[in-house]
Amino acid sequence: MSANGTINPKPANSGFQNDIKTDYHGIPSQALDAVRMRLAQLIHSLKRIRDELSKPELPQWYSLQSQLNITLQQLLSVTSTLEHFQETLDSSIVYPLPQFPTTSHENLLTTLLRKKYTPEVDDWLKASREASEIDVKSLTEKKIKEILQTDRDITKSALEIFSKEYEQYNEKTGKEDADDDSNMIVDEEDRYSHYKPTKPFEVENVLSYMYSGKL
Amino acid sequence: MVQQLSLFSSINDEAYDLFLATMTTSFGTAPIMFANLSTVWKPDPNYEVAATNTKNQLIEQTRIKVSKNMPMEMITNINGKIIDYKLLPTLNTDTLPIDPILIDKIINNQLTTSIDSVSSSNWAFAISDIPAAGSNRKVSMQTITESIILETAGPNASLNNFMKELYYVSEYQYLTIGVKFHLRHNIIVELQKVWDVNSKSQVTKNGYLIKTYTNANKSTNLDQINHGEQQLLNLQKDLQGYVDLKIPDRKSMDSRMEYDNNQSI
Repeated sequence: MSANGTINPKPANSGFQNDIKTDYHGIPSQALDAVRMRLAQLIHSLKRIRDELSKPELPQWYSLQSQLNITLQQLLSVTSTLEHFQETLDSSIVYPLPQFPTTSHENLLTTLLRKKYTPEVDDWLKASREASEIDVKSLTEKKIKEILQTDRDITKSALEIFSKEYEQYNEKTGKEDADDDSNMIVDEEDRYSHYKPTKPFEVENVLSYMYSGKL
Repeated sequence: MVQQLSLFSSINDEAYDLFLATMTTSFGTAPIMFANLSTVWKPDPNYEVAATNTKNQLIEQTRIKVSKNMPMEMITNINGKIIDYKLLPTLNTDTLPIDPILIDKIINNQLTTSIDSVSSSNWAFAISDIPAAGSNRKVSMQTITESIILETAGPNASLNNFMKELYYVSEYQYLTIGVKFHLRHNIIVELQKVWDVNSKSQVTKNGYLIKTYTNANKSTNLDQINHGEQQLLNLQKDLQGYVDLKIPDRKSMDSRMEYDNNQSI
């Protein structure tokens, strides 16, 4: 594999294949590793959410929400990492080394080198395009940009309102800012505790009176 | 004979309004006010029935509960007030909200003022077993045998005389006033206050007893029992974290006679 247009190692004649030392110098390992790590995290959290949701008893809403928050954070981190290394990754060209057992592992090779989207990814893209309700074909590019800009503005103002409300919410309970997820859960408990009824007596005492007259 | 599946809890007086609002909005049913007079009878000790501890014996002596609906009009302090769920917190007194002499008259059929609803409602006669044992039970299950006394005949017909013919004498009486919700799947949620008639004091001091139950009419109808249990557990889950419904200790729901000459099991 190589990057940035430099081709290393040079494809060799078949007779010398085994003699050639592979030069990994050009591989953007830093970028690839960063992306790989974040993707692994994301997959892990997505799997966890899926498992939680498939349980017969749903988890508490706050634990689900905090998990979703974590997942969204990780998704954001993947996107920003990809953006950060965009130049490197875009200019990298992937090809198999001559030593690669092309014939015996043809399936693996074609999967790894595939550049076209797999059918399901195509479906996802199509579905999200339809969900956006923008008819790409009939609209001009300028119009689409305008629509996207309006959407961004709405999102921005919604976020502002949300953070404002959230701050007020925290002030009311007299708590410090609760960034941390565990803090959030404790807060919820505190917030509703004064609505929660207390037990004025033991149920058993009343029942033993009703059933056998013991006062 | 019915199998009654039930779960219990309690809340404090201050939580009444919120609990009612929660139930009404969550389940879409309105609270219904009710008042019951329960009289509990025991075997007449004059007949010298061998007073052994009858637990785990073939023949068990048990109390009989005979209860009836009380018209709200008979409850003092509510004259002229609208009878609805808002009334219950105003009865929040430690003293019995009804004249005990009146209760005596009801039992002996000596009411002079004819309040129609009193005479028209019948006595329900119930004998209950101790709830089923088992540590892995999720709801309490109790067998109750119940019938309705339509008429008592003879001279001086009254509940007291009727019970006397069964060799039972009055042991204690209690008044229950509360609200109930009829939920889907025949689940009933009752919020009640209980007063002991003899001591005129409130048993559910500072709070309310919550009873949620459903009846299955045959102990062999497992489908119905399982369904009822599932619905109760769903309700328990819905209310979890707010009001935690629990199975009470089964010994507290035992109405069998317990004599002192033996240790209770």
